[in-house]
Amino acid sequence: MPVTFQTAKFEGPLDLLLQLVEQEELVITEVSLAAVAGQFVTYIREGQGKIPPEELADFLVVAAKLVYMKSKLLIPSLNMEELDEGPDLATQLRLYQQFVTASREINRLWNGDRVCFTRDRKPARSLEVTFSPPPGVSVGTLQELMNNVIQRLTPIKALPQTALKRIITIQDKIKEFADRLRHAVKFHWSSFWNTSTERTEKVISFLALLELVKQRVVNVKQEALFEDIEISANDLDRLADLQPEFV
Amino acid sequence: MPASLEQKLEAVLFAAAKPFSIRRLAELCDATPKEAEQALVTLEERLADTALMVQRSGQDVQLVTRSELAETVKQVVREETAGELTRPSLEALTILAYRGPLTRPELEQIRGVQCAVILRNLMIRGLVEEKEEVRLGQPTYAVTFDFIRHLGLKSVQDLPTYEELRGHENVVDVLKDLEEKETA
Repeated sequence: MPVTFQTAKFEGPLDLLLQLVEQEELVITEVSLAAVAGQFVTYIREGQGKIPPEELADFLVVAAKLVYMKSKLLIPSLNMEELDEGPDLATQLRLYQQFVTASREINRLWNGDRVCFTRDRKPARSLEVTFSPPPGVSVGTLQELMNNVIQRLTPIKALPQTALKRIITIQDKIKEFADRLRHAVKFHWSSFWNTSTERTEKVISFLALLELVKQRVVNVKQEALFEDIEISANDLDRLADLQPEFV
Repeated sequence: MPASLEQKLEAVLFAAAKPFSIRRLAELCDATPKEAEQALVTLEERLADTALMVQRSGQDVQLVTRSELAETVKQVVREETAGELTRPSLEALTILAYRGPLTRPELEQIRGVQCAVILRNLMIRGLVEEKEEVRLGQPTYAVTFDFIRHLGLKSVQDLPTYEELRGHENVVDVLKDLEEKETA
């Protein structure tokens, strides 16, 4: 179904959602949100370039909630604790809508001409750069402040370590295969496999090998079941910059 | 005739020409914070017919000229040009004005999008200030006197539908949910 969009500019996922609901002239309810879920998701997919990468996660959270709401309307028995926690989207959006309305009045005041003045005259700024710590600052104070800064850098809730590990892609492994085959006519799978210590990395190595076999750029030979595999190049030129087809 | 507490407060605010916390004012005038607060209310009433008013931001107060006089005062005192506010900045300022001080996650919960960059920009422009909050283990953010001054308000409580939006059950709900999530 082709969807035409009139929403050209939006600030954050709630703004986009609000515009979609208002465009359809709907009241904010679970049902009306579910109705625009499809449009919202299409928007994210097509607007990938427009959404700043650091905000993408926030858009996906809202998209997930929308899809969940829609699924719930279709399958009332559906109940996923993880998605039910947190404020419900309709409440959140109604609140956001009120602040958007309030912000218009603030903008009017801001652009108005009714400023209050204090007696402090801001001195003309000196262009000379000097170090002038406030009175009473000691090495101890500075150390304490620095410690506070460092403490603040530690996330309140540490992210799970597994998520922070460097991700090795199939692409990386294909490059390694290419490097090896440039230096040797053939080599054994075991010698490649043994270089990785991580289980996931071994799995990815094997997926990379399967990809190369599928695209016919390497030849493999195995004498018997569970025997070592001999790998040789079939098309070294293509191997160099091969893209996995399924990613 | 000995000076009244109300006069002392007025003198300090006038002479120092900078914001003070009510607690600090009380200290300076040998009074309890409660007495200082009462005297401030009397001062506000007495100033009603003058060109000045007591402006409030949280627990801080300062003496300013009334917004009605802006045109006249502008001829002699320059106001730094403020420039337009972008939509995200305006939203963040509105939420902080009505509901502040808030922590960053609380603000983000209402806006539904991360606000680190906006907060930093607003702090650079002097419209938002960060306060260390030991109890929460992370800083809170509130609008500054400069922001309130520029809007020409006596305090953020003068904003339309302030009580409604501040104590709105939805706000309370959303924030309560967040607290539960964080303590869980």
